[in-house]
Parts: sequence; structure tokens; C-alpha cells
Amino acid sequence: MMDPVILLYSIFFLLLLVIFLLLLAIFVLAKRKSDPASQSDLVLLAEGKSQSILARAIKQANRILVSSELKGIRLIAQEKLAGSGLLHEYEARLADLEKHLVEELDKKTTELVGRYERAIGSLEAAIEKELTEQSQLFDKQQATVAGAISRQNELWLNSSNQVIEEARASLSKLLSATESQVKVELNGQLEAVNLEIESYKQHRMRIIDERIIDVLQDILNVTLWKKIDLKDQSDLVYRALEEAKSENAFGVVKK
Amino acid sequence: MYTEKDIFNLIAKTAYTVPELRSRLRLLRDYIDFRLFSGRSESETDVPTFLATHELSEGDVDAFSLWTEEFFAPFTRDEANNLLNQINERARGVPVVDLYIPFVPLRPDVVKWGEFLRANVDAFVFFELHTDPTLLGGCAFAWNGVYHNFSLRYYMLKKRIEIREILNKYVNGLW
Repeated sequence: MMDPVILLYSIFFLLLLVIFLLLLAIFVLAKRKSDPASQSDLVLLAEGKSQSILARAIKQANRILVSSELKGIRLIAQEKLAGSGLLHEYEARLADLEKHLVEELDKKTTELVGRYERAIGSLEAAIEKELTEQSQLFDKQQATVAGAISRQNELWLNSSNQVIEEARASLSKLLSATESQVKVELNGQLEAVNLEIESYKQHRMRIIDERIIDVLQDILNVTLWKKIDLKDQSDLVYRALEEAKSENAFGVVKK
Repeated sequence: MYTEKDIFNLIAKTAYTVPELRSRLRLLRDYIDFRLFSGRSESETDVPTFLATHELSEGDVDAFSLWTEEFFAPFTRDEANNLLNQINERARGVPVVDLYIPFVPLRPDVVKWGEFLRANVDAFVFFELHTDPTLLGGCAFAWNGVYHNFSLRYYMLKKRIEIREILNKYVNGLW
């Protein structure tokens, strides 16, 4: 079967050939016209030939045209038929494919749904199991914690009682220590007061003694002064220096 | 040859009080000036000439008698002033007892007390005499910044309890 495109090209080429021949004829005719001497014979001959050529060409061209048109039409019809056949086939195949795909999709969907349902079921079961286990564990731990809390409470109670007892003992110890300390302090203060009173008494007595001696000295000054001569005075000074030495009034002797 | 210390010790031998010490030092300076710087000849500056031309106390005369030529040998024209200054400096640093007595003593008493103090307090101690008529019998003294009263008052204070008892008996006997 000829390609429609090639057919069209061949038709177009034939047309060009026909046109060329026509033009050649026209040229020849035109040349014959310009030559007055033998123009009429030649012209007539050429004209006759050209016309026959032309007619044959035209006929051939028409024949070609027709056959090509017919071929073209046949081709187009064939293609159309083939196309529609293909289309039908394609549509049929498409429908088959669609049907097949739908079936497959349904099958797969069903399978998937089944799997999903199974997975959900197993997951639910696992969760249920986990929840049960956790709940049991929680209960167990709750019991343990409750036990520990109650034990801890007991311990705290015991230790707080112990602390209270110890505090009571320390407090009574502190009280007794404070009492004895206060007693010691008071006794010390009393003693200090007594000592102060005693020293005040001594101080007062000394003042009185010095007053007595002042009076005596004044009396002696008046009565004895004229009785003591220079020698006695000098001896008294020497004895005073000796007394001072015996009482270590001069400190360490430097030689 | 006598050193500055030897010279001072010889001066201190005849001086027991601070005024005596000052007097000896003044005497020494006067004699050195007379001997070295008066412009007189050597024969005019001997000891008898000095004693004749200067009025001295008994103590000064006695002290001078102990100062021999060997004593005066270190006092040269060049060294005399320096030596005298050193001796004066040493004199300023001597220990001093301030002694308070109710009378003006004689020289023998001063010597006696001075010797007692040098034997019992310090080998080079001097004393400054102060007259305090309020002291009756005995003495008072100040040593190392401390005042000590060893007069009759001291003895009466020592016996104050007995005195008080006597007075009590006397008062009670009266009433």
C-alpha cells in the first residue's frame, strides 16, 4: 500500500510536469509565431503535436489523478477502517483492561481491607493484652507503694517519737544544766559581792587608819620635832634606807 | 693612759650627789681651760696656782687632790673639748635616786648614804637631795619612777592595827 504522502507528492509532480509541458508548448508556439517564413507549417505541425501531447498528458495526468485519488481514497478508507478497527479494538482492549483493572482493584482492595482488618484486630488484641498487663503491673506497684508508704509512715512515726523523747531528755538535761549553771553563777556573784563588801570594808578601815596616822603625825610633828637631833635624824634616814633594801624597794642591785 | 671612763670613775669616787658631780665637772673644765687655753706658761698653770686663784669647796679640794698628772695627761689642746664633752655625756646618763629628807644633812651623812646606795643599788648611782619638812623621821625616795615612803608615817601605817587597838582600849576605858 502506497504511503498517502508519497502519493500526493507524485500527483503534485505530475501536475508540475503537465504545467511544464504546457509552458513549453506555449513557448514553441510563441517562437513559431515570431518566425514568419515557415511558421505556419511548423506551427500547425507543432500545434498538432503539442495538442496531442497535451491531450495525452492531460489524459495521463487525469488518469494518474484519478488513480491517485482513488488510491488515496482507498487508502484513506482503508486507514479509516483500520483506524476504526483499531479504535474498536483499542476500545475493546481498554474495556478489557478496565475490567481487569477493576477486578484486580477489587481483589486487591478486598485483600487490603482484609489485611487491614486483621492488622487492626491483632493490634487491638496486643493493646488489650498490654493494657491488661499494665493494669496488673500498676495494681501490683500500687500495692507495693501502698505497703512502702505505710511502712514509711510507721518509720516516721517511730522516729518522730524517738526525736520527741530525745528532745524531752535534752530539754530536761538542759534545764538541769542551766539550773546548776545559774546556781554557780549566783554563788559566784554572791562571793564577788561579799569580796567587794570586804574590800570596801578594808578600804574604809585603811582610810580611817590613815586619818588616825595623820592626826598622830601632826601631834608628833609638834611634840617630837625639836627633840630629835641631826644625828638621830641621820640615823633614822640610814635605817629607813636599810628597811627599804630589806623590802626590796630598790629592785635588782647593779654592780 | 686614762680613758674617758677612767676619768669619770675617778671623778665619781668623790661625788655622791648630782650637784657634787656637776661641781666636779665644772672644776675639771675650769682647770683644763686654765691649764691649756689661758695663754699662761706651764709654770703658771700648775695645781697650787690654780687652787690659790680659785675659791673651792672642801669637797672640790679633796677631789682635786686625787687628780694626778696622769689623770690630766689625756687632756691635750686638740682632745680636751672632745674628752670633756664625752665625760659630760656619761654624767647625763647616770642613775639617780631622789631622796627626800626633813633636814639639811652634813657631808659625812651624804658620804655614808652615798656609799650605802652604791653598795646596795648601783655602783655608779647618785642621789638628788630634796628637803621635805612634812616627813617626820626616816626618809622617802623615788627610784625608777616609783615613790617609796619610809618615814615615820610608814612605820605608823605598818603598826596601824596595834595603834587602832590601843586607841580602842583607850576609848573604851574612858567610856
